[in-house]
Amino acid sequence: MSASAPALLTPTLLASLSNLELVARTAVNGFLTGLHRSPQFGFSQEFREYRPYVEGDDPRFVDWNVYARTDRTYIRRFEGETNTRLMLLLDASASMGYASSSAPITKLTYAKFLAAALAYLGSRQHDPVGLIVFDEGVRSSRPPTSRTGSLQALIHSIDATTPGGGTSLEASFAGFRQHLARRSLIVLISDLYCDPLVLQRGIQPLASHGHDVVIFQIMDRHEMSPRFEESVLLEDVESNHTVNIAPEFLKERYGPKLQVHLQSVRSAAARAGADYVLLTTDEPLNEALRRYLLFRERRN
Amino acid sequence: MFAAPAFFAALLAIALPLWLHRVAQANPARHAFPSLMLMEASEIQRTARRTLRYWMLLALRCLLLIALILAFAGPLLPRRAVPTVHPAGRLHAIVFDDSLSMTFGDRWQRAHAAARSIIESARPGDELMLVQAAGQKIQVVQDAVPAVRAGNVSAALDTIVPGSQRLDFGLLMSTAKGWLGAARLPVEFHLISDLQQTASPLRFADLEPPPGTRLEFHDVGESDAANTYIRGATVLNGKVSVAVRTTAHSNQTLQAVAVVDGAEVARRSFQVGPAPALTAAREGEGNPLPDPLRSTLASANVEGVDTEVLLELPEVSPTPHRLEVRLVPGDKLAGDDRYFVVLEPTDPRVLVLARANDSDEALYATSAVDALSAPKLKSEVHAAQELDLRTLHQFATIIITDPSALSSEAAARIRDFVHSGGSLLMTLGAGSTEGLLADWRVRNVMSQPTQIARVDTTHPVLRNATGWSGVHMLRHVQVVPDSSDRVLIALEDGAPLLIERNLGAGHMLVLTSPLLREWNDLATHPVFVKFMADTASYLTDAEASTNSAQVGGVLMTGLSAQQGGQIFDPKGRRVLALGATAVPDRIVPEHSGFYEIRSAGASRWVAVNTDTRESNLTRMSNVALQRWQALQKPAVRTLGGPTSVPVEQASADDRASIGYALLLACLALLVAETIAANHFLAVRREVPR
Repeated sequence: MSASAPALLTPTLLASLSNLELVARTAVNGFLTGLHRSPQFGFSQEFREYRPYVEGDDPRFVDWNVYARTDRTYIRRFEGETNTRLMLLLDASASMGYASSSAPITKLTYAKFLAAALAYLGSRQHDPVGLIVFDEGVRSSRPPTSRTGSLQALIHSIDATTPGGGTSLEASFAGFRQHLARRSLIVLISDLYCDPLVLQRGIQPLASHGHDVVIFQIMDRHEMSPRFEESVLLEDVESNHTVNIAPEFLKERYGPKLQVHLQSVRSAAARAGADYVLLTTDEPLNEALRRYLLFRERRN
Repeated sequence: MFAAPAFFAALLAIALPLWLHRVAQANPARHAFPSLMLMEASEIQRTARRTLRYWMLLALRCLLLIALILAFAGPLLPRRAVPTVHPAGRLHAIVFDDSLSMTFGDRWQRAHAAARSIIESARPGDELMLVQAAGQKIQVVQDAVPAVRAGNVSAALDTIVPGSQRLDFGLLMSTAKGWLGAARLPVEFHLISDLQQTASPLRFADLEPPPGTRLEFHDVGESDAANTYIRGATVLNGKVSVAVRTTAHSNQTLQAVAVVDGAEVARRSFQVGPAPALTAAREGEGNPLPDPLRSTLASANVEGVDTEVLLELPEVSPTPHRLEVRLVPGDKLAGDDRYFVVLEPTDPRVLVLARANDSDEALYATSAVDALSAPKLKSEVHAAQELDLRTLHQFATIIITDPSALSSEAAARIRDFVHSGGSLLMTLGAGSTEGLLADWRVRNVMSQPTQIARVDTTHPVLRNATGWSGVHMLRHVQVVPDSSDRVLIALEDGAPLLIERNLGAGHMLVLTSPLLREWNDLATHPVFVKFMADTASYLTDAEASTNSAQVGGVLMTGLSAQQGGQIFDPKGRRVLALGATAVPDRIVPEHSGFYEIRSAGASRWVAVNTDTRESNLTRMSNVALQRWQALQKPAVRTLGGPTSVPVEQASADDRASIGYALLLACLALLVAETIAANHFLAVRREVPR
């Protein structure tokens, strides 16, 4: 990875861009630029073969020269093109709207950057991309498609997402199954404040149905290690409950509890056959994109 | 002791920070968090460190409030309790005499050098102030500043320019306490002056300096200064008589030059001097030593020798002209070698119009007018039907004793006369209400005896009015004044007796009862003559026709706020500020020469000359100066034995207010409280790892 790529992918820089599509293009192009200079990855857009056109294929990739010579429609296929269906599951609960005073952006904004970048990356690989936004249940959904203009519409839907109510992964996963008919690569982006067993129970059916699941857990650096000099009254942004917290608890006992929870989530994901990545909102997106591509390569 | 102890009631406000801190203590800061899933509730804990921080901030806030309240309460401490940085410091009050005599020879330069020497010799801890003394005002040019800022004083010294006025030492010393202010340091009073004898007051005690002030003289005069000057000039029968005095001990040949409106019209050589030398009186020769106090006054008449020069003046038009008389060549004191006179036509004429030349009213009016000496007026009596209306413009004012005797044409011409700036006094009787009274609401004749109830003494014609209450009014004409009229005298029933009305550029006074025995006994009272004199003076603008004044004296301008106007000094500069909303009726001229006073449609000249006392350069005797210095008194008397003088009670001036120091302390506490509170609040916010 080149030294300039991480600079292009920092949340602070991406937050300064004017719209989400631009963010996605910047993040992905910056990532790919570094990727091309790296000998480790052979991802490219070079032509590989023709295949017959079937209904539903993107007419942009019809080779008209071949058609003129043969009267038959053929679709170009490129290196890296696997026709993977990408389904993005975006958590838009109230907890995702949190940002500490030191964080450049909220967790939801970071998740939107990531979702848009993945959508753009999938689009470049001619993968049909879909979106499900959820909080206490499925809030909105877009089926995977690679039609012309679908990327812009998808990114617009991502951009329009705002923090909602509480979180119910159980109800949300029940809704996911209705929207996931064909085998897909499912990317779950959430802060995962849930029972790890609920997560496992939600993912396992998807995996058993042939879906591949990647989990991106988004957290704010400060919520992983909060520090207060004296007692504070913390208010849950989803339930509005408050609890008085002593600084000694935060300093001595909260960290280990959090690590236990994160480990539980990781283990639950592993048991369900899902890939798991923990990201903080101050990290550049390149690690997330790299892990995604690796997973995609392994899948193909 | 406190200057305003009532402010202590504000100490109750300390309850506010106490309450706020109690409230804040019970309410920890509230923060949003994504999920409380992993949190455990705990009790509010306060460490010793937090407790200390809380008490420190509370203490700062309480101290701030207390200091603020104390500062407003104005605590006073004895001066001796207030430490001074330099106990040996002095306030050097440099009093610079810039009267006319200081322009003689190089006195001005020597005075400047003396002032600079005082400034340069000031030590650290001293203070300097600069005062300009001449005329009716003693002006502080530079307030007291520490000696380190002596540059300010030097710069202020350069702004002082030679003046033309006379300095009165009595005025200087009697006002010293005011312009010295509440000096913190002992005062050294440096008087830089030629110490003229004529600057001494009539009362020697008026020279007493303020208590605690050390008087030091810086004499820039010469013991044998000689001066030749014009004492006065009088115009009579086409000639100007110039009185010249000299104190020179040699014979001088000079020329007197007359200049009218800038053009030389006459010149004459003459000789003056020598002045007799004063013989020194020695005790023991049968001649008692002259009393130094009396000699300050008497010697002004002893020195010098006078001569009179007559200059022929050419015939000039009967309008005001400016006459200047000069001595050529001039001497070391040029300011008194010129004299200014305004040549004006003869005395103003007053027209008395009556029904008959020999009527009683005409007699009373003319007698009163002719009896006046200031202003000097000439009255002419005419029967109303015999007046040549073409001559109206020759009169300064008109007195009409019976308006009903006027023809309609005469009434119209007189109305025009007033309208174009003339003035009129009219007495009403039973008769026609037409003509001049056409726009007056004249009612019946009231025949009930009454008396005068109200006199407006703010009006110029009634300023010195006494005795009106003794006048018996038997009959009067009932007149309803307009809203713009001014009722100057009112009767017991409220009816006006004397009304003033403006008509165009002029004005008229109306008396609602004629000067007849059957109507009143006004003419038999002494107040009648005074009334006629003031009325004639007012109507002819005689008060404003003063055409001579003295530098530093009061000059009546005759201007009023209603009419407005402007005054120009001898150099053509405006005396009144353009933005001034009030037009003064008097000014103090500061330069010699011709002042021009312009009012609505009129312009006149006033000749301003220097005070001839400034031309007498005789210096105060050493004995007089010693006695002056002996007038100094200490600030505080010390306590002695049982027979000693009682100790003076410490006055409020001997106490120093420390309110300013407390305000500075408040400021420091406010800064500390802000920093502590900001840090305390920051601590309560989340602190990222």
